[in-house]
Order: sequence, then C-alpha cells, then structure tokens
Amino acid sequence: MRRAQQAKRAEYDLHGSYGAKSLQVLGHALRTAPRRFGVAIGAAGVFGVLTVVFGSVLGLIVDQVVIPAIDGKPIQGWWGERTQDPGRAVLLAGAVFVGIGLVNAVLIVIRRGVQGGAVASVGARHRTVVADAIAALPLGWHRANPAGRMLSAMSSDSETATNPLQPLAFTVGSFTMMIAAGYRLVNMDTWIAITALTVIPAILVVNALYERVISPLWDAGQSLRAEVSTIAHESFEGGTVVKALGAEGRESARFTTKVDALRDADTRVGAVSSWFEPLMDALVPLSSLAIMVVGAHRAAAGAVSVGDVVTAIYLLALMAVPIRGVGWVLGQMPSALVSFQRVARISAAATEVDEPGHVAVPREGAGHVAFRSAHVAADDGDGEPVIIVRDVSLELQPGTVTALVGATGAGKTTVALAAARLSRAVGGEVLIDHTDIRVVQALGTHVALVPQTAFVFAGTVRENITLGEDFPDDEVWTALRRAAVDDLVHGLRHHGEGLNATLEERGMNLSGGQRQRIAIARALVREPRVLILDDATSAVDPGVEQQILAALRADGKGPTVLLIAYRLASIVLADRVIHVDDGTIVDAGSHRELIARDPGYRELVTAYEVDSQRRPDEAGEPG
Amino acid sequence: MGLRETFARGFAISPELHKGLRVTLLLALVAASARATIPYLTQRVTDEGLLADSGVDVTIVQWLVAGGAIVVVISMFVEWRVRRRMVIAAEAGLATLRKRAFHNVHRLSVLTQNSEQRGRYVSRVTGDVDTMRDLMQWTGAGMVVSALESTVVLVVMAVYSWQLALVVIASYVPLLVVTLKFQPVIRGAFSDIRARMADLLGRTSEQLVGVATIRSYGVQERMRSHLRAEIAGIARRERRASWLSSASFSMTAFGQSVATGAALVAGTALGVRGELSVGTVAAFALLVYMFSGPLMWIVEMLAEMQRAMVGWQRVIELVDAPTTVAEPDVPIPLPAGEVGLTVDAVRLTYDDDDEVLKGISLSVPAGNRLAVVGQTGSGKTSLARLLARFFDPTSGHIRVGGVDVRHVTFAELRSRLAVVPQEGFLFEGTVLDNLVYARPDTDSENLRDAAKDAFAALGLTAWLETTAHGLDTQVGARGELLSAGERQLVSIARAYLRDPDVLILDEATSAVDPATEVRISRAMERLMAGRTTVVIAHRLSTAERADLVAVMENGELVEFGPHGDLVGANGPYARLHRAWVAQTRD
Repeated sequence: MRRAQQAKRAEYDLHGSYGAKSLQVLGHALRTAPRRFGVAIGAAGVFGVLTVVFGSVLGLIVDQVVIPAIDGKPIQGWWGERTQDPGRAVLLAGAVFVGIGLVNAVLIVIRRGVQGGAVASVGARHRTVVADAIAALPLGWHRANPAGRMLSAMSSDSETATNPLQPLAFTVGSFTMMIAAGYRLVNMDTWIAITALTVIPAILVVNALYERVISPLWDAGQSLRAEVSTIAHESFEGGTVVKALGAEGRESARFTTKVDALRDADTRVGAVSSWFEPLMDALVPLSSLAIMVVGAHRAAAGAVSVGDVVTAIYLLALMAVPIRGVGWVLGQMPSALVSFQRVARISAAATEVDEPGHVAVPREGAGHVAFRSAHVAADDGDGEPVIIVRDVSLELQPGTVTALVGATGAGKTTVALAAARLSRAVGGEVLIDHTDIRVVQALGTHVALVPQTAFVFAGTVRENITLGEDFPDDEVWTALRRAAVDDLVHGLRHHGEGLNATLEERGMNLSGGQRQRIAIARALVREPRVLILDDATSAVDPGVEQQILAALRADGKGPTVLLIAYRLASIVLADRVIHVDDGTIVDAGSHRELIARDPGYRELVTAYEVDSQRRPDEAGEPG
Repeated sequence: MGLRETFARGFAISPELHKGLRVTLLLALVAASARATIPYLTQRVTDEGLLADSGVDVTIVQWLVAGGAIVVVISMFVEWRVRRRMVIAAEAGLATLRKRAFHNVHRLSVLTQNSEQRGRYVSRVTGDVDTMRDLMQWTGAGMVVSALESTVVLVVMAVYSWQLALVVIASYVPLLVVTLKFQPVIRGAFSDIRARMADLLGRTSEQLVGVATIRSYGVQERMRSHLRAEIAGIARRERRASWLSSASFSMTAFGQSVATGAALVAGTALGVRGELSVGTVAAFALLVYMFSGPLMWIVEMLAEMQRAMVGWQRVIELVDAPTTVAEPDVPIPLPAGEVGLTVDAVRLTYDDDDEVLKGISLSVPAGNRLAVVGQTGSGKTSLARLLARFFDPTSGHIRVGGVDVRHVTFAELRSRLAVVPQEGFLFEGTVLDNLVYARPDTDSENLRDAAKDAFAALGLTAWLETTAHGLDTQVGARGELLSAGERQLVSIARAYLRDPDVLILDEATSAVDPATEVRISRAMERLMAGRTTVVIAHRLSTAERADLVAVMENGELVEFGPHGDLVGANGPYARLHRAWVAQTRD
C-alpha cells in the first residue's frame, strides 16, 4: 500500500523546465489511456493521409474528367478506361468523391469519439486522485485548507488539466503529414525549405512568450476562483444566519468584491489570449506569402520550377493543420500545467496510509491503552508537523472510563486523535495492548473514535451505521438502542422506514443531538475494544447522555472509554480523570482526589455547578 | 427552456453581453472578409506572378505579397480587437450573472435552501458559470468570425454562379438539418454530465466533513469507491457526449465531400451546356472547401455551445427561482416602542409530508419572555422559524405588534426582531467584522466603541481580553478558530448591538466548557432583559425563569401558561420538571 502511494505521488511529480513539464503532462495522459489514445492517433494518421488523397483526387477529377467533358474531349485516366460518356464519368467521379468523404467521416467519428473517451479517462484519473486523497490527507491539512480547494480540484482543475489533450490525437496523427511535407520541401530547395520551416521556431518563440505572460495570470485567476467558491460555500452554509441578520446585502457585497476581482483577473487572461490566437492564425499565411516571394526569386533564377513553388505553397497549407494543432495544445498548456500541479500538490500532501499496521492484536475483552512520554503533533501536510502535546504519559486500564478534562485548546482532542492513530506521536510512543499503535493491524476493529461533529451523509440509516460493512440488522438495532436513538429510527418515514429511511445531506433532518447519537451507534455496532468520545455527546440531552454512558458499562463487558466532556455529571461517571492544560498533563486521579488537590481542576469543574445553583436564585423562584 | 429563451433571458440578466455587440460583429465581419481574401490573393500570385506569360514576374509577386501581408496583419489586429471586446463583455456579463444568482439564493426561503444540497448552489455560481466563460472566451469569437467567413464565401459563390451556389446549399441542407436535430440530444448529454458533477461535489463535501470518522473506522476504501463510482459515471457520460458530438461533426465533414461532388457534377453539366467556364467549376471546388472549413468549426463549436448553454440555463434557473417568502406589495409599518407577538391558528406542512404544526395559537405580551419546550420533532424549532419569517405558515397568521409579518418589509422586520440561532455561525474575518452585520451603517470607529460597550454590558470584557487580539481576533472559516461557546458569545454580542424589540433565541444544546457556559447564560440574561423574547428552551432552568411556558408535543400546543401554574397543573410539564429536578439535585 505504501509503495502504491509512492507510485501515485511519482505519477503526479513534475520536474525540469516548463517544456519538460509540459511533455510530462502529455506523457501522463498517454500512459493513463494508452489504448484509446493509440486508436485515436492511428485514425488521425489515416485521416491525414486521406486529406492528401482528397486534394489529389480533386485535382485528378478536374484535369481528367471536368475539363475534357466541358471541352468535348475524351475522358482520361482511370475514369476514361471505364466510360467515355461525360455524364456517367462525372457521376462516377462524384460517387468516388462521396465515397472518400464517407470513409473520412467514419475516421473522424472514430478519431474524435475515441479521443473524447481518452480525455474522459484522464479527467477521471485526476478526479480519482483527488477523491483518493480525501482520507489520505492529514486531518491538519483539512483544517488548514478550505473545502473550496478540494472541490475546485475535483471540478475546475481536473477539467482544465485535460484541455490540451482534446486536439492531441489529431495533432500527433497529422505529424505524418507534416513530416512528409517537410521532407519534400527540403528535397525541393534549401531556401524555400528554410523559409517554410521558419514558421516552426516562430511558433515556439510566440508560445514561450505567451506562456511566460499568461501562467502567472492564470494562476492568480484560479486562486481567485477557489476563493469565490469558498465564499459562496460559507455564505450558503450560513444561509439561515444571513437571513436572521438581514445580512443578504452585505453578503452580496462581499461576494461582489471577489467576483469583480475574478472578473478582472479573467479579463487579463483573456486579453493576453486574445492576441495569441490571431497571432498564431496569422503565422501560416504570412509564411506562405514569404514562400511566394522567395519562390518567385528562386524560380526567376531557374533554381526551381513554377510547379515546385505552387506545390510548396500547398505543402505549407498541409503543414498548417498540424502546426495549428500544436498551437492549440501549446496554448492550453500553461493553464493546464497550473491545474495539473494543483492536483499534484493535493496528491503529494496525501501521505496518510490506510492500513500501515501488520501486527495482529487479538480481539479479546476491552483494550489497554498507554502513552509513554508521547509528543503528539498536528500535521497540515504542507509544512513541518507542529507539536501540540508534550511528554504525555497515561494509561487506560481495560474496561475503565477515563475523562479528559481541560479548557478549550488544552490539547484534549490531539490526545484523543493520537489514541486513534489520527495524529502522530513524533516522540515517545502510544501503545494498544502493549503494541506500538503504528504497527497494529486493522486498528479500526479495536478503536472507535466519535468526533464532536457527527458525520451523517445522504443515505439510509443502515448505510450511515454500517458504512457499507456487513452487520446484521439485529446488531444495528442493538447499537441504535445502546445509543438511545432506536425510538427515533423506528419513527422515521423518509423514502423508507426504520433502517431504510433516508437521512439527508449532513443529517439536516435530524437535530444536533440525534446526529451525535447516530454517530455513537455507528461506533457501538463495531463493538470496539476502545471507545473514544471526543466531545461526542455535547448536543445530546444530559439525561440521555447519562443513560448512554451508564449502559456502556452496565454488563461489565463494555469497552475501555476515553471521554472528553464538559458536563460535570458525565465527568463524575468516570473511574479516572486526567486534567490537561496547555499540552501537558497537570494531574490524574479520581474526581474526588482532583477536586481535593488540583485547584485548576476545581475551578474548571465547579464553574458549572456554581452556575446551576446560581440560576434559580437569580430567577427568584424555588428550585 | 429553449435556446432562444435562454439567450433572451440571459441577455436580459446580463446586459453587458450585448452592449457594443453590433460594433464587435461589424469588426468580426471585417476580420472574416480579410481572411476570405487571402486564398484569393494566393490565386492571383499564382496566375499573374508565377504563371505570367512572360515568365515569373517577381515585381508583381512582391506587390501582391505586400498587399497580402497588410491584409493578414490587419485581419490579425481586427481579430484581436474582436476577441478582446468579447472577453471584456463576457467577463462583465458573467460576473453580473454570478452576483444575481448568489443574491437570489439568499432570497429563497430557508425551506427551499435546505431542500437542496448547499454544494449544488455553489456549483451553479462557480462551475456552471465557468462553462459559459469557456464559450465566450475561446469559442465565441471563433464561431462568430467563422460564421461570417462562410457567409462571405457564400456570397462570392453566388456571384460566380447562383445555380452552383444553390446546389452547394442544397447538398448541405439535409446534413445540417440532421446535425441540428442532434443538438438537443447533445445538450441532454451535457446537462446529464453537469447534474452528475453537482452530485459528485455534494458527495465530496460530505466526505470532507467526515474525514475523521472515515479514517477512524477504516472505511476509506468504501468511501472512495462511492466517489469512484460517481467519477466513472461522469466519464461514461462524457464518452457518450463525445461520440454524439463527433458524429455530429463528421456529418459536416461528409457534407463537404457531398457538396464538392455535387458542385462538380452540376458544374460539369452546366459547363457541357456552355453555361459555365472550366475556371469557374475549378474555382468552385476551392470555394466549397473555403465555405465548409469554417462551417465545420461552427458545428464543432455548436457542441461546445450546448455544454455552455446547459451551464447558462442552470444559472438562469437559479436567478429566476421564485421566492415564495416575498416582500409585501403594500408594506404596513410596525408600531413604535415595545411590541408583543401573536400566533394565530398556525398550521405548517413541509412539501407533502405530515403536518408539522397543527393549529397553534398563543400570544406573548410586549416585554414578556416565553419559553417553548418539547421533544425534538415536537415542532418548536419550526415555530421559531415561522416567528422569524424564515418561511410562511401554510395557514394562519404570525403577528408582531398586531401586524401580520407578511405585511412588514424585511428591512424593518430584521431591524426590530433579531434571531440568535442555535449554532453560532460566524463569517471568516475578525470578531469586529462579524459585528458589522448587526450595524451595517455604523462607521468602523463608532462600531468599535459600540462593540466594546456591548461586550461590557454583556459582562464579556474579561473574555474578550483573553482572546489573541480582542475585537481584531481572526475567527476563521465558519468561526472555527473559536470554540463553539465562543462563537455563541460573539453571536450574542451581535444580537445585542442590533438592539431589537423582539428576540427569538434558539438555545444552544451543545455543552461547552463550564467557564464559557457561565458567560453565555449571563450574557443571554442581559440580552433578554426588557425585550419581548421567545426562547426555544433545551434546559428547564431556562423555562423556569420565563414569564410564560409553552409545551409542544407532536406539533400541538399541549400546555401554555406561567411556569408556576404548569408545575402545579400536574400535566406533561410538571412530569418533565420533576424528572429534571431529581436529576440535577442528586
């Protein structure tokens, strides 16, 4: 798996000059869909040859059929051998023409159809890389980067990166045409050849200039595009608040500022490309005009025949097609490269490995967890990991409930994540059943973490609980009951009943507490040996929270629980309390012990008690 | 929506698109004509210069080439101007389109907003508009110039021989008809792709939220396979669209052969009868080629255009989405001073689902506090949303100060009535930036002072001092650099600054750290003091301190009255209260 990931990173790793990178992007495409590109290029090659044939046949028909027919002379050549009736000969010629046209049309369908399929494959490859990266990016990366970045990589960037590929098969296929034409020119006359072939370096120079000017502009535009997307995301997400505050106008103003900036950036890009295209269009006609002058001089000097000059102009016209194709590929390349690298950066940051472990730990009874002088870091995937928690040693005995208590930002979540291998110990070690957590196989079957923000997706209740794994319905119901959410599910009637009822995107049809209970049920159905509740009951009704926690230990077969909670009643339920402050452990022991000897802890937890006693007094009513 | 309607409506929404369009088209005609003369010049160089009777005439070649070079350069410059004008117009028009669509999303009722994945709205104001941009920037100019080029050549053909011109047109017509028939199918295919793309983005943003869960349960592969299936579906549809558009393109290429063949046959027939010269027939072969080249481009770009049209339509639909919760035609002003609230026989049904509110009537006198309690799903949150006019009841009336809220302008309603939602949602920026939302008209220095006073009045000065930069502390996207409780504090301050007569509070259910909890409840008390308040209570301690309590069950109001009365009445509220007392006093 690790090797596969390295291969994936290498796949998107670009190096060298701009030109080298461009070739690597094209190479990536050819490797991604070799068969399709192969067929398309083949069809394009045949098509190129037929284009030449088409021109020659037209000349032949005019010379051998049309002119003699009109002048009343005998029909010549292949046609003359078949018929001398001018009417029939010309119909035959017309039929041949239509026949060639038909073959041509079929080749076009094949070339473009298959080519489009090849491009779709490459686009799908980019999207797949982004999709695969979601769970392989460090959690810190997701916190440091707005969702808009992933979304635009999935849509706009994946599309833009394939733009130069559209004319690729046609261009490469018609290289045969260009090489043949170039070869004939060189054999014809050196001066004419030099004049004609100057167009190639000219195109390269214009492109180099274009690339230099447009790349930074394009990059700026794409960044603004992601920002516009981020604002729209934030604003629509907070739609209710916007309404509540009557802030529609203000939101529009905020969006307008960014949209206008994007408009200006895109206009700058467009302004540059609007001279590039006509300039590329003008190069070939200018070059054929030059051939006329040089050709006229050479013909006057007797170096070439007039026919040669006419042929040279025709050959340049043939070369113009692939040259123009190269122009399109090159013209789209700067923006494609920028987008390709945006995808590449995501792929490069996706360093987390799905299943790094190889040591099997037996699934017997509740688990044992230990931190030994662990330093735990948050990693945003872009820079060096930042150490959040220092020198933490703790031990969770099997079957016990331990509460992690501390102020906001004390490092509780970092510790919780480390126990689920979601953040990394950069020093010391974290052990599950005395085995280094980094090598434990199938950790998900031992440890379940329930985060504060419950993840509920559009799908049935069953899918939301099982996440696609095989759990019989009665086990799902048991988990729902233990999470005190079975009554709710029984009552659900939304495109189905009970387990088949559909939950909406992000569980919009549920309350915050219900979403959290669904998330807890999802953990319980897996019968974890270690259960980590990271503030996972914060929105649950206190009474229900007590009921859930009590049920966890009722039969004595429950998991080892690590609990982050703010309610005193929940903290009191724990066998042991660990007080964390500013990234280190201040004290650990039972609630009573800590109340007695840890003033910081006392202050923290009594605040709630004080409040609940104060309220009735303030209201002036008996409690 | 047909093509014509799309253009008409699209131009009406973004007038920039057709502003100066006539000049642009005129310039494009100049560019097209210039392009069309180049083969003609080549012909003359060959005939008069290279093949001159007296041998190669270098002077004539040079003069003609110089003339040709000037035409090429002029056409290049003109085309540059054409493209530039189109880019500027297009970008301006698209920016307007984005803004209009964005604006309308916020005008939709909360109900409509919630019925669609938010990610889809985002994809409309971003990706869908971008497909239009591709058309305008890359394809649009080329298409216009090509169309004009073909037209110019067609005119030239008609001048040479109107009969042959007719033959050429006649041999193209059936193919063009088929091609055009094809367009809706292609459009359907592209529209399918865009819709799938929106699904993919929706799924992706869901998974972005659930990353920790996905990794913790080791279901990465399963989640990826969901996305991969969507991605493969998109690729499959892209391939289908590609086959369709290439079939349509090849039709025109075939048309070129048919037209050339037909022109040769008909030309020869006419020539045999002495009506056409050999030169004219030969010239026609070239003219057909010149005519069909740009035509192929047009068909090619038509397919591109279909793609863009789909995007355009999706955005226009959003701009035109009806806003059911609308401003009143004849607004009635609210009475000055303190106002009370009345709920009169209110019923509410979402879509076709069950009734959520089954005839609720109650009233809150000015300055009083009402606590609404009930289980999740009892309808209490729906009631709060109706009071804030996030949407309208199916039947019945909500009155503020005796005026039906449907007759009050949004501006007045929002200034007199403030809502503090359950989740303290903040916008990216500083704390102060978030307070501007409460007082958009106040300048920043006065606002800073007002904000400090507000925090002081709410007893939050000490908290503010613990933050990194006080009012200038960055809160991050959705306010996530602050804790849930701190976000709540800022949104309370925001409501306080607004100084409303009526408050609708959806009490936060989330437990936060105890110190913050204390601050929140104290700040809430001070915010509510002296205002008509409806609080959706999740804690009975909140209900205890209200003047009136409403108990909701399954969309019905089962009990209503002062706390003390209800506790004594031995109904559902008394039972709830007893259970709560037992739980908190153990």
